[in-house]
Amino acid sequence: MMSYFEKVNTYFGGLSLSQAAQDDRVVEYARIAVSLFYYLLPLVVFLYANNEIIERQNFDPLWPLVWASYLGIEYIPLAYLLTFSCIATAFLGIFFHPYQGMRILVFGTLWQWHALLSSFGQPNHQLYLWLYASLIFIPLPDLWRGTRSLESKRDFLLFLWCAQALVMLSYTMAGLQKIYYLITQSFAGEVSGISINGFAYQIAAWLPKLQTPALFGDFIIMHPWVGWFPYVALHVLQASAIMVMLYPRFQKVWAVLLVLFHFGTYWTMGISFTSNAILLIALFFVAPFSLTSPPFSFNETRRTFFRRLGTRQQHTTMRS
Amino acid sequence: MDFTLTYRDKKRAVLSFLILYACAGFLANLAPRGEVYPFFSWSLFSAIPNQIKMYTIEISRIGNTYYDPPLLFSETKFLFDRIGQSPTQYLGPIQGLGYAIDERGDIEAKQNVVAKMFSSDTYTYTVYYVVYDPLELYTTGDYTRKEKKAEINATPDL
Repeated sequence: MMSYFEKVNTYFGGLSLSQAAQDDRVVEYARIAVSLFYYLLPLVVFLYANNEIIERQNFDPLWPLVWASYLGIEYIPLAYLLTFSCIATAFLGIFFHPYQGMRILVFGTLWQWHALLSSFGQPNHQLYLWLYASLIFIPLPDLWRGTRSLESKRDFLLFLWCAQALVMLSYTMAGLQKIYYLITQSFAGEVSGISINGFAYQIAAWLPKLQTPALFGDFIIMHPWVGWFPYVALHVLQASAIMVMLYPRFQKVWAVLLVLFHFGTYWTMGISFTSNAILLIALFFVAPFSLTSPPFSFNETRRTFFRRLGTRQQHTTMRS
Repeated sequence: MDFTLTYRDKKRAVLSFLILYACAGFLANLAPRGEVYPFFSWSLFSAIPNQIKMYTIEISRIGNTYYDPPLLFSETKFLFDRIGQSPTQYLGPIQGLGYAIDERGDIEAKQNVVAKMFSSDTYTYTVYYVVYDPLELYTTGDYTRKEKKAEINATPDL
């Protein structure tokens, strides 16, 4: 007799890494997802290695750069050194990421460069997830060149799953805090995330501070009801993101919606999280774990739902 | 001794790592800046700002250019573009300067941090304490309350 949780797990196609490791297609796709991460990393580094990096003011080094302060290295030579190292390892990573030493170098230089970018009174949020994923990928077994035992395949899938879960967990953390404030502000009688003009307030508060143009910012402020549904749906989309790690058939759908969410925040608030959108594409569009369960289908879900509803109604009629 | 990790150990390590990541992120919310590098709660735009109370600046001179009416902070993007930074990186220093003026702190030190946004130009700006409804300010330009704190006129010592 299956428990309720097992029934739900079976219905939604719950994930088993041990079973997935036996499927060569899953392993092959997992390898492609990790390779995509290293192929796209130079593009992401390029996004933030702008020409004004040496013009920045108020450098206040974070703790990972304590060695530079100890050696008395000034900001400008340090900026050149760390930016060049990060660019160099990111490009070398395209070819040599199957080597663990290369992955350690990629993480190390990205970490130092990220600490540099974050040393101006405000951490760089855009590269956090790339940094963590590069750390998680260090212990990956070499499935590119080495022997492919079942154990190494399972370990490879486990670390890729961990990187994907960290990305989705971050969205869940963001969503849960939005829901927390939605509830507390609603009870306090304030404009909240569920209010018709909640999103308009958010845009009006942040556009002048960020000072970035936003294509639809003024439009939402003038017609708040247009932004209501997407903003409320965003709370659910973000908060439930971690669930796709247990039920991977929904991974592609969530990844597409989250990429669209990043487009949306750029068009309405001028906030650019291009790096996160690229990371979602790298890790989820190949979606190796979704191969372990049938792809998500609205028609199939609708049919199953009505079939079950019909069965339940039959039982109720028979009982009465 | 055998230090080889079993698959079960690795699975536990991965789950512990994710739990630690989430807990450390949420706990970082309690820090003064809301994050402790490299932990972050991902609380971005979580609460709806109903009423905002903050310090702001209005600029009446940069180098040989005089502004009448003065430039609002929300119109100063060009200053940040030339130093490759975001205006939000200077919101904190402006709040620090405002608190220093109100609480007789080290005004000069705070002023030197804000001064970096002007690169090597001379400048004049006024510090205000403002209270406003963001939607009302955006649509009408009116503050609920606006209190002048200080006028700062200087040649940066860079």
